[in-house]
Amino acid sequence: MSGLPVSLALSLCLTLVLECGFFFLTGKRHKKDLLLVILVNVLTNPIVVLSYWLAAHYTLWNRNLIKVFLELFAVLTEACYYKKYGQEFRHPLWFSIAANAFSFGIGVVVQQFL
Amino acid sequence: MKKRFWILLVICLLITPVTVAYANPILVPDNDFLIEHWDYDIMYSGREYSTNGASGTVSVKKEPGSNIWIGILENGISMYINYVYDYNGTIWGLVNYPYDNDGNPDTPYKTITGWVPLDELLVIYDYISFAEEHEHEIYPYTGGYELAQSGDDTVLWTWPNSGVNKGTLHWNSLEEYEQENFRIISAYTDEQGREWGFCYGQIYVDENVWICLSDPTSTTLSTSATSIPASTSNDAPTSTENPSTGTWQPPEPADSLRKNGLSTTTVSVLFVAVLAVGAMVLIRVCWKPDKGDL
Repeated sequence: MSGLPVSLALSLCLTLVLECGFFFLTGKRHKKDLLLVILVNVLTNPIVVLSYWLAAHYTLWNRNLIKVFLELFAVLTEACYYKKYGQEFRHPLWFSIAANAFSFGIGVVVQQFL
Repeated sequence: MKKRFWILLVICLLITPVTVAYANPILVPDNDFLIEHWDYDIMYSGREYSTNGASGTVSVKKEPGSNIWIGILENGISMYINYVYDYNGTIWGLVNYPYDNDGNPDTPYKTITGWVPLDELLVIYDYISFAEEHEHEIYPYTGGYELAQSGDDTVLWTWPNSGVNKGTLHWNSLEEYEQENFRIISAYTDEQGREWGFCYGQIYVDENVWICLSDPTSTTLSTSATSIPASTSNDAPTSTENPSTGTWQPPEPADSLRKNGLSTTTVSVLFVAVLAVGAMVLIRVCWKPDKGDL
């Protein structure tokens, strides 16, 4: 099995576990909101991982800048969806920022052990 | 209106990765295996080899250890191999061989890119081969660089007594950083008693060159018959073919792409696009906006 599909699958699984965990940590219990969190991450995470992979391998762009741009894309997209379709997201943008920071931070730590 | 903007934005973001992949200069050969292992265990070789398969040809494989071939090269074709990979103790090299429809490498418009075990290649004798052959006769250089700095044209040689020079070094024409980087790190004394120095540092002609310290400006130094082997074996049989007569056999009519299916990258892009569109559709179907447009 080659690297990119494995990276995509691992990143998505890890993100779903962490963001769902964060969802419960913030005291939310609404099932439909949980499904929304899952679907929104299925939408954004593979795009972010694939775009980073392609940019890192085929361009000379600064990798940290690529990360910032892609994380910004993920945060804003997710916030828009939470605002539009969510039931219990009183501050969609802050939830999105915090959830992404949480999963990104834990992801960096987990990566050290892989 | 805003809804259309968001749909357009998502479509653009889906297309962007593909555009990025092909609109920017690709600095390394376009090979999935190379790219996937680039950060981990790809090693640099930078040596010239000649194909030398036991059966008279060398099969170029999709990736190290694979049985899927993407082309066949006849013995005697010489090419540079820049990247190598250790697959379970066997070293494989990345072939990036240009050709045209008739297999003619002189007017290339296509490139066959794949992997071959180095066992099926012969390394063309080079400065590394010379260093290996004369390992015990090469010693650290402790002298100065006055000869190279004299202002005369110093002749650069591929290796001592090779008979092949790589131009001349004119100290005053070097950039400041080239002068600062210039080093003679080791030396060798040949059978005629001439001392040679191995230069280190990216000077304007080439790196990894030798200069004859005893006669730095001579362009007619005699060639020692014993020090110019045509090639060095990699424990493979010696080829008797002239490299210039080697011809390339194109893959069978079923083109390599069709034979091997789509590349991993293409499949991944398609998979991610399907996943993203699927998620968007599901959200749209399962939720009716409770709040107005953003």
